[in-house]
Amino acid sequence: MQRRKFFRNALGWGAAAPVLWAGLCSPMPLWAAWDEAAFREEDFARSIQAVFGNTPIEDSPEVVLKMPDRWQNGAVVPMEISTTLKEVESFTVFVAKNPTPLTGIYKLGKHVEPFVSTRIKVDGPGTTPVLVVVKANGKLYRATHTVQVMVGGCT
Amino acid sequence: MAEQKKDKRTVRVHAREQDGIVQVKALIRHPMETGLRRDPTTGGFWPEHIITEGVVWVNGELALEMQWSIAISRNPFIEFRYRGKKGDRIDLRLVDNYNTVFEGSGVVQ
Repeated sequence: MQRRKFFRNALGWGAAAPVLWAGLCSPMPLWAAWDEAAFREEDFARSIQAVFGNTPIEDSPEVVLKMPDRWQNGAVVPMEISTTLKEVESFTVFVAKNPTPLTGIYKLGKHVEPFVSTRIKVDGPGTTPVLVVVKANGKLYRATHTVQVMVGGCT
Repeated sequence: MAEQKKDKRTVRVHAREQDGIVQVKALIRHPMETGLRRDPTTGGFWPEHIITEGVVWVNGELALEMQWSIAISRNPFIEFRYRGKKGDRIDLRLVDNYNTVFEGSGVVQ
């Protein structure tokens, strides 16, 4: 009786094994959508176009880009994006004078507050505008903030 | 098969609930090398090594999808917020350009 049980269990595991194995060494993440063309673009205006095409972007006071005005170390510049707009889908950040302006894309799920805080690199030394484009309700809104860094962060 | 890093020190997830809003902070240990910095001893460039994508799930539901560039700082830090409760499960999974996968998770305190 015990031997029969053992074999029956073994058969079950044997059938499941390939499925488990496939899960363990699955191929790379399915969302592999890293936008290489946009991230490698070196021109500021073209990088915005690479992400959004020719969709019009309007300035909005409801988008708040909180960053320092002057910062010592361009390698670690704090950045906080928040907005009072509703139905926010994503935040996209560009640093105009970086070697590759497109800095990051953050797509928000449902029930997530429209807020992101992180640290970015700003090239320098010098002054550069930082742009955040918020996609809310299918439309694009933007806000800029000019940052001056003492030591460049990218090179 | 991609290398996986589940070391608790490599990915730290911290989540705290207050007044119905959960604040999630994640810190990932990663060089985020731009590929534009020179090695002074050889004269060549340090090769680009960056995390390119990351996904955060809250209780299995997609909360945040990120695509990063060379301009995200070394040892990337990310904070976001959502309406939730204590006990929610936060899962984080990132991949870099060397196909190394970084995973971490936490429970909302």
